[in-house]
Amino acid sequence: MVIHGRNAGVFELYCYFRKVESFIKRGKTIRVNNVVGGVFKPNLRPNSASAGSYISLTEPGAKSFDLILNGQFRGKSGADHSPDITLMESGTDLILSIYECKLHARSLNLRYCREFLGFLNELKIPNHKYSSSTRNLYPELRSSIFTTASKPWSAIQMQTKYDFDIVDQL
Amino acid sequence: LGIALEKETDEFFENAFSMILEKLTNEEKVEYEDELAEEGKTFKELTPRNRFFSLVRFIEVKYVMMAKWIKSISKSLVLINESYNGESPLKDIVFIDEAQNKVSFGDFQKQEHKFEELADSFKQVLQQMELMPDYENYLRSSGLVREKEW
Repeated sequence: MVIHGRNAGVFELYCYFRKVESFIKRGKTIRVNNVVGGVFKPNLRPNSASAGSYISLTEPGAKSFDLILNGQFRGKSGADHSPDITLMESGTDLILSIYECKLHARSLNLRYCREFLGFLNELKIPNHKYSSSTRNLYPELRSSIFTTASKPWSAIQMQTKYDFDIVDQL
Repeated sequence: LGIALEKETDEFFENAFSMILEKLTNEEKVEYEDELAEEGKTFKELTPRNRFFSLVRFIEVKYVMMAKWIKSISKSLVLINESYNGESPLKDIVFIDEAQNKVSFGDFQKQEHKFEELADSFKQVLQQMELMPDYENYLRSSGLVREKEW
């Protein structure tokens, strides 16, 4: 009756396309890349950013962004990392934001916030040229954890201190 | 659920919990127990009532919410295709499931009605058993508000 064990992938797609929608509502025009025969096939496993299908978000006179699923990036330590969704400046290797999708039924475990901080640090996201105030002005640019769980007070403390969002109870 | 015991007793909730649990696959049971373990709990430590509702919540997130996500992705695809001035650049999406199989979103779309039926029957069963207010209280006490929109 029900397709078993595939909902995490569907949840990730849900988060990805909701993100695309939020940029469209901001006036960005989209361009779909690497699509063959109308089939959008993002990276199925961690891979280089442009290996799979992805969506570019453009606007005349403004910078273009690429939204990547399962991109793999070298961290400043030399280790490779693969956030679920990555927003990059088009034509560069500059990562603007990352988005992690956590499918849990109850309260978001703090270890996912710690893991997220590791991503931000390794991928140098807190230090890139889009300042904190710019990210506050354009909330789409804020790195985020998307989750079906609730966020406990300790997670709220971390998101406030380290300038990321937790969009909970999706 | 087909449970004839009087509602609100520990025995009722214990039986209801067992009946649902035995329908889960081994992987799902492990997943459910892992979620509780992340909070430093085991289901045996919970009261029968909270144990039952914790499993209901697991089922809700695992399956019932699929209907909402499929509908939302379908809507996004329409929006994307409309922004291409009537052309349809996206017909389908291929992604990978938790068993590492390639799957087609189109297959999920075809089953959208089944997920909607599942979501409806989930609510109906809780309502028929007059457990919906209790479940909502459980969610609120767990810091959760059901069906909060993005």
